[in-house]
Amino acid sequence: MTDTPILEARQLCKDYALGKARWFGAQPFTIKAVQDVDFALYPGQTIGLVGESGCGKSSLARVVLRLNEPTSGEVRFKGENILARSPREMRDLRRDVQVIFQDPYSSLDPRFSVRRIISEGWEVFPDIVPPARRAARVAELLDLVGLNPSDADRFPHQFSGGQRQRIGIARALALEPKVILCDEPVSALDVSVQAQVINLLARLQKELGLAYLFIAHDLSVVHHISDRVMVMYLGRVVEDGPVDQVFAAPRHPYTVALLSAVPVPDPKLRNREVLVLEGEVPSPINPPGGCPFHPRCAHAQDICRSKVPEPRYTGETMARCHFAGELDFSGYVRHLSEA
Amino acid sequence: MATDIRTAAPKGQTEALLDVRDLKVSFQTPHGPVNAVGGVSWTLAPGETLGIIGESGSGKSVGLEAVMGLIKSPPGHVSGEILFDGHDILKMSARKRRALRGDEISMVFQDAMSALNPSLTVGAQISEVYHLRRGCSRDEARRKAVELMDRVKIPSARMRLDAYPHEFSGGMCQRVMIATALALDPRVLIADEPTTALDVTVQRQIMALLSELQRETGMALVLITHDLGVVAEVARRAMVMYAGRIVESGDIETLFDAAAHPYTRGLIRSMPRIDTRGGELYSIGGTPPAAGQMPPGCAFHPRCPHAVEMCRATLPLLQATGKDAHLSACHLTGKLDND
Repeated sequence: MTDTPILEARQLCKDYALGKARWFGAQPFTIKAVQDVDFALYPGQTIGLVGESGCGKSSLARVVLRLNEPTSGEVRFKGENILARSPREMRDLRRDVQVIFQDPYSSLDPRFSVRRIISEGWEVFPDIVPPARRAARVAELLDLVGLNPSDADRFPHQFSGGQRQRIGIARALALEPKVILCDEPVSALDVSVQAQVINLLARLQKELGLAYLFIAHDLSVVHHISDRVMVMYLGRVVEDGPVDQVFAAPRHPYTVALLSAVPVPDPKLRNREVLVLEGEVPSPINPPGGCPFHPRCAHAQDICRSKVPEPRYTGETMARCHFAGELDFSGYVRHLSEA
Repeated sequence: MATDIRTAAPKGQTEALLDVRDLKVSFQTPHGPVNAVGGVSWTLAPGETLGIIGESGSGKSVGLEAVMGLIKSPPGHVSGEILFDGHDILKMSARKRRALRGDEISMVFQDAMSALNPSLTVGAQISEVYHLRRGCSRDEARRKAVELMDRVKIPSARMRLDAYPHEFSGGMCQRVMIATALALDPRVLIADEPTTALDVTVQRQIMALLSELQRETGMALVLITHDLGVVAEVARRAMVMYAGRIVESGDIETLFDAAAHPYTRGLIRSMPRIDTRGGELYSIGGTPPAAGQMPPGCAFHPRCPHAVEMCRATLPLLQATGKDAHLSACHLTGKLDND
């Protein structure tokens, strides 16, 4: 992978201020929603982003899309720092990075026909498809996502959840993007329909060379579709690496807890060793000192309470734990590689 | 009208606590009556954990709401028999049924945040049960509420008694709802997707809590879910529902290792598993039929790769597969390869 990443984040941070700033007196609270996030997404690759609710997955996505301005750091598209762009120049980039949303019920305008939903972007970017070819292109796109070209004049309410998600995918593809940010694209779908949409996303990636930033809380789905995985906890990436390596030998105790908590559809494995986390994610307004994970960590030592762990690298994986690589978690994840 | 063979508890267990016979639920709609549950029969033994698996619209929730007496009539219509301890619930007076709810059978819902009353404190909602049903004084009821919150492991229960639901996390709200359901020591707890809206780590905590409470009190648990993983981890026996009917039932090992019905097999195969990766996922084509648009014959035949002429014409009934208490509603039971 010597080529330039299509999308890159460098030391990206986002703070949200809570409450109004006062003229005098104390600073308002800030929430460090995203702290020091680095990633490099290459064409044709998928990075999975996992973590519990409130860990900063969506904040990171919004900052990468520049829907919110980051507090510091860089977002690079094809090597260029897009934060330097003016809002107008930013618009030209929007076609290259599209989004597929979680809820196929609320993300499609109920008063728009499928044709209008798919072709709306061409009003902003008229040069993508000449007006004379638009009807044909809508039909092509519908065919590409496994819908019937005759569906173009129907409305969202006439479709099932899975079909609506296909319409959302067609809408994203209409602008011929290089990157698609998938925000929990299958979590609202039934199991039997989920597999269809996952297969569709994988096929489109192969055919069109798309890069995906794939946000999900379902680790099995992330495992299936991703090349790399980033695990976030309280705004930081605590572990990052090729998905096979991270899932086979996680080095951050939080990753271990997430992986071992996933219910396995095999009754023979129900008595396996599970690392159960006590408590819940602490409030980001007043995060614990030292390693933010230490209050829930069974292996926490004094250093964890006092010092924020620096990233530790082994090969291609990174873990922010003082003891990364020194702890043996094989008992908790053995079932992931043996079955 | 043909009646399915009943899916009975395995031999050696005591008599059924709950015995549902040919339960049908239909709703009057402007487009004519819609059958949500089309004749299901099952039993629940004391202390047992029964899983009910199904996708949205399969009738899994509606069937259990009928057991709880939550179907409003009209527009709903419930027929068949629901025997609790030998007495038909459907023939009881409203007063008697009310006494049964909470005292004997209780229910926990999916979205705890919206199932709780946002304008009442958590303490008020739990202690209300004791006040109304046991005639406890307010102080007594509050004291019992604290005990109950301790039992469902809500930290610093006494202090949080006067907090409102919005001050609780999703997992804590679910604990509050479990507490209200358990207040009167029911013998049956129906849990409808109790962990679906929660993160995996919290899901694991709630499932562990339910199992622990079940061990302590000896209550039976009916777990409604679409997540095969959750069922595999906690249930001893499960039923699979499709389009308002039970298509397969049996003990959990048999269902996962030797599923007989093509739908169950498809569901199991289409799950992305955390222990395998890559390649195309198996997927069941098409979507589940909409209520009111049931195909003739076997409701699954339009999506079934094995469908033959008979499947399009005749409704298959549950029949024994030869294994102990394993039933499947498929014309081709025993004739399909074990792939």
